[in-house]
Amino acid sequence: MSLRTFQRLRHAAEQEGVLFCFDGELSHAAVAGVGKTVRARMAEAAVPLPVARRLFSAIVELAQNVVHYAADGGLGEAKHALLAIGHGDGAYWAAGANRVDARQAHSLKARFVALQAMTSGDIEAAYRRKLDDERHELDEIGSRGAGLGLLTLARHASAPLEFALEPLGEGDFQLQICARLDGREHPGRSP
Amino acid sequence: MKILHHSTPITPEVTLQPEQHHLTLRGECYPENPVPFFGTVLAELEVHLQRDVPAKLDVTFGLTYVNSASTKALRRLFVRLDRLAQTGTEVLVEWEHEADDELTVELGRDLASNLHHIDFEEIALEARATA
Repeated sequence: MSLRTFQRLRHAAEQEGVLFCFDGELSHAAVAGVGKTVRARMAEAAVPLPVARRLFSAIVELAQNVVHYAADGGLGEAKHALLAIGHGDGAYWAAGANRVDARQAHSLKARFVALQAMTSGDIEAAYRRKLDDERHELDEIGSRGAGLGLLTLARHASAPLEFALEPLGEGDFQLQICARLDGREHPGRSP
Repeated sequence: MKILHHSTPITPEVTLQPEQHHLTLRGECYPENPVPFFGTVLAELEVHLQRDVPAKLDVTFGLTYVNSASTKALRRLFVRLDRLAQTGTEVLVEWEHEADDELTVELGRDLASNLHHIDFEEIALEARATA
């Protein structure tokens, strides 16, 4: 990266109110490091506790359970992801991006579209059902959480989750998710 | 007191006081794969229960954060506790949370939902000001 490019990155981060950003392999140690750093960063930025807790939950779910296995890794390999949290436009946000294969992309798209149409009540009900669903530990997108991660993310967000699936060629896609978290005490969408 | 699991940055300390039949889990809880951790906890609990089915079992939870994978595993533990309570053991679950921590309160209620045999108690601790 040239200095000029780095300056653009820095300005963009400043403009978008980035509080934390991580780009790398999400090994066990890396996730623990992200967790510890995000907690410290939120304390430093005086993020109010109610939203800080939801923001923390969002970044961990983005890092771990939304898609359990990366397209370029196999079972048990650490996946590469870009994670960020920030504050702007009167709200906090958490975002994550990682590579998925075509099959995962197809399933994920269906899930996100379904989620976007759900009310808070629908999400709560789906969450309760998933909590007791013992059918498959590994579902069709390779998620051990059986969709609970995505529902948790949706549940704590203040608006429907935004997502994008960018084709990368070779049949893979870049999954990008953004969750908006207002500072309100009681998050939820209008029914 | 027996330490069943030493705390790590992402898993809680788990201790058992065998005489008092008191199991405690305290700390962060966000392993990506909860199976090794919860597998150990459940196995140790079974060993303890097989030795002597107690008249009363206390389980205290003081978890600062629980990821969705651990939530599922915790639900299984709660269901196990409820089944134990159905067979005659008095099971008390103490769910500690910071006074203003809605997320943890909500989680406790989700974990205990539709389980009618355990005695589920919420214990509010003093709140902090900021993260």
